[in-house]
Amino acid sequence: MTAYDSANPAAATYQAGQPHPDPRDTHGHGASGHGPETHHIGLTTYLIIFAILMVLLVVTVGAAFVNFGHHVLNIVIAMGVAVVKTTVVVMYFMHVKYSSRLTQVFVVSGVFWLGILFVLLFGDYQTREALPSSNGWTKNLPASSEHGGGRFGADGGTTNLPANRSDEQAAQHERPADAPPHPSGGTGRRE
Amino acid sequence: MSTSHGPLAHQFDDLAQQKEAVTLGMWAFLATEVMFFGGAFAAYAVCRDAYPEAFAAASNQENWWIGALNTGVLLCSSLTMALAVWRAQYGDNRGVIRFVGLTALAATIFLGVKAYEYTHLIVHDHAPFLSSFQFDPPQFADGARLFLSFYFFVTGLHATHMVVGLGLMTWLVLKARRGEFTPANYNPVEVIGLYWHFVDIVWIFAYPLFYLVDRTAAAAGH
Repeated sequence: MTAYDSANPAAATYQAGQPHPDPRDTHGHGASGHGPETHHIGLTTYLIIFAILMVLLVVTVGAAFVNFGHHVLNIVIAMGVAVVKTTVVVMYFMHVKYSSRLTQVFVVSGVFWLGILFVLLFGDYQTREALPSSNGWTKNLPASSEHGGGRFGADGGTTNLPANRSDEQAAQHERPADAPPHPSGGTGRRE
Repeated sequence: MSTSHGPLAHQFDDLAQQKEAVTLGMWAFLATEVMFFGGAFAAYAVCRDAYPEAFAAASNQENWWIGALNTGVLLCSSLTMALAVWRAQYGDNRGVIRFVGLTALAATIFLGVKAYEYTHLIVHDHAPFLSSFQFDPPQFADGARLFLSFYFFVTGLHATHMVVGLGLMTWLVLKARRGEFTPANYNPVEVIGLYWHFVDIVWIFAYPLFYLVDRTAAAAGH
């Protein structure tokens, strides 16, 4: 291993957006010694953040049992609270609030890339029924799903509801031939 | 400090640059982990959209308060890990050992609870990877099996990350016992702390997604 020459360190060329410390400062004091985050985050802050996280946990659980009217609201609230908790953990526990801009770019990039994944993947599945030529991928799911709550299909999932279905239609509604046999031996279809 | 084994590696100009590089390296890794778990969550979302009632039925059979307890335990571990980094910033190696030890304890409790949950599911024939799988009501069986596949995969992957974290914590304690951390050199504690907080964040999303699906019908709780 090359010996570190404390008397003559390499020329200071590092530019990362941080205030660059005196290169002759070999013991790492000043701005680089403790890192800017040390001067901002103390024990009290950590405890307050922890309390906030615990409160938000209670909110998450409590809100899950409340009926907000529309079904979708529960998941929106649950994910919203999770995002707030994550932001708090990232900013304070992970010190990103006090990190260099470059570090913050790395953090945002990871989340942004996940956003690309979500947009393209969900966009794919959510638009399948809208295309006239597509069969909608959920039409080929095993029958148990269509009776267990599937809301897809060109008919909006209403064809096989008891009020809309004749006995002939029910008999004609076969399982796809290549679907795996139902584990319990039955089809789960309402007769 | 003019020894050949100072805290500064030879490729860096100074400790600040080394610290920045080490932190960026861990964040680059965490970005890949975001994509790893994010992909699993995205697939889960698509499947949940296709089997909404089956997923709700399967989720309602999970024990929400055990999951909530585990979430609380993991949040505690995040606090203790943050405090370990805080002590490391002052070169307090004993404090590092104390708080990393507490973090490891919380992690072990979490994993123990998870082992109980897995055993419970297997014993009740809800393990999707076993041929003995069955689910009541039977018309939800396919969707429930899919839900449980995601449950075991995501929480199992998460638990694996926690076990790796325990190994890293052991390494930290060994280094701290040798008094290696100083205000100028505590990078390992910082970045392992980043890893652990990420593991916590994954669970922050996993808990409501798996345990709290459509609980409004069961307002009295499970």
